[in-house]
Amino acid sequence: MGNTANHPDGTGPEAPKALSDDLWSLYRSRVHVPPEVDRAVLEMARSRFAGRRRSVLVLRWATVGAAAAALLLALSLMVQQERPLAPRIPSTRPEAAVRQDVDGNGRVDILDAFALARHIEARDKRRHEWDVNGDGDVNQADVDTVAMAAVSLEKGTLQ
Amino acid sequence: MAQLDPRSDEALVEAANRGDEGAFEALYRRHRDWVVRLAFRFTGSEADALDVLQDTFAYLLRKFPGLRLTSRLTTFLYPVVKHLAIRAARKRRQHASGDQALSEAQAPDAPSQPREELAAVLRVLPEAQREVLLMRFVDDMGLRQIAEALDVPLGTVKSRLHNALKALRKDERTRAYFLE
Amino acid sequence: MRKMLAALLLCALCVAVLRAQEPEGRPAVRFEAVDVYVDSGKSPLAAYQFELAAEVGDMKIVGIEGGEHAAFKEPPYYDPAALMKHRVIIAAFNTGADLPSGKTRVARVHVQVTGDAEPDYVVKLNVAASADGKEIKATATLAGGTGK
Repeated sequence: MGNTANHPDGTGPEAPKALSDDLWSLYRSRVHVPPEVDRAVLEMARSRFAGRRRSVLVLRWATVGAAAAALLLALSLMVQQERPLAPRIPSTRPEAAVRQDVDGNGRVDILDAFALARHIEARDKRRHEWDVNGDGDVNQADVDTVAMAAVSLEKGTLQ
Repeated sequence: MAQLDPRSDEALVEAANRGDEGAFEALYRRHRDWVVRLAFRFTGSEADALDVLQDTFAYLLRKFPGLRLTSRLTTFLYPVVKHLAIRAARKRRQHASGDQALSEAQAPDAPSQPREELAAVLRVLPEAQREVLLMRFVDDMGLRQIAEALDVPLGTVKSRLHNALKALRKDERTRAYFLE
Repeated sequence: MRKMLAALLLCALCVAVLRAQEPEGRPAVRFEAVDVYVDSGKSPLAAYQFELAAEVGDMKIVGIEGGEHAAFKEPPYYDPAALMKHRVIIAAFNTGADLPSGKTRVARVHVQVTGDAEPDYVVKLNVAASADGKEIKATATLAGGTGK
């Protein structure tokens, strides 16, 4: 129920209880949240947290793989005396970012969302990695997920 | 029903930063109804409110790891929900019938007469005053929380709230609330 | 002599009256609209992404609208966290056939400016593409930013 009870900052005008109760009743949500919405959100969370855990494993295995590749390379160089190649840098990108990079050019921008939208419109054969939000379907929600990743402020400052 | 998690929002965010999926679920369950209620207030549409609910928590999810919460989660999420909801409502209105002014959704139909009159008075309150009034008495947010969520000075919040209550007191349809 | 004194007094009075009628200083908080244009030359523009920031001045973004052409009239994508901050990344695309070419306004950014210093807006076009998804050469420019 609405209340005029204590708040951390305490100060400020209070409302009569009947008013705050009626305000609360008027605006009390009439929206029932279906269980499938809960499932979708929690599944999205599960995928993301699992992706983070998997990316740690991927990083470990990729590091082992890179070390092995570097060793093989060194051995082949000793035999062939060719110009050395740089060791392969293991990918550290989380699985989610890899999925968002729909066009595979190494960065996530609006063209990835655009590419996914065109695939969906053209009814191209669905690819598992296009299910960016992990809800089991490939649709506008995935396009929006990629687009929002593209415009996220966490990308850094103007270069 | 799962037992309620006793940890604070800050503790749950810290745990989620460390990869604790259960902590995120606890945050979702704790704040789900508030988010959907707020979204419905702005959109007036159940479908849009549910979309905004999912978008809001998708947004929150992307913040981990690395989110540092210095207030309650509702303060952090309020502007996110508001703007996602306004965008959803705008899209719906543009599809429905060209340009329309954006504003918080009107109060739903009130079942009883006093509430009908309260709803009518709220409809004509300036949006900024109505918003603060509802954040205070429906969302149960403190004044400092409201100031932080809206990014306005505390004095502005107090002034808007004062003026909103004054308007309700002056209006003959809602004056009775203030009579002893 | 008297005539000269009278003339001087009249001049002084005129100056005083004119100064009293000078417009007031700029308001402490004001709102401006910054229009962002993308010029794709002859290529139809199907997708764009740009970053807008204010390098000088106290500016906060308070709203973002779509552009002038039907293809970009819908509000674009942006991070809600950008609202009430001074930097935003904005992007949109359209998979339809009716696309603008040449110079077109793709977005209008409403900002709240505090203080006298005029913000120095900077826009950087991250990417632009044609209908087939291929990147095209384009430039982004700004207009507006005057007090309203």
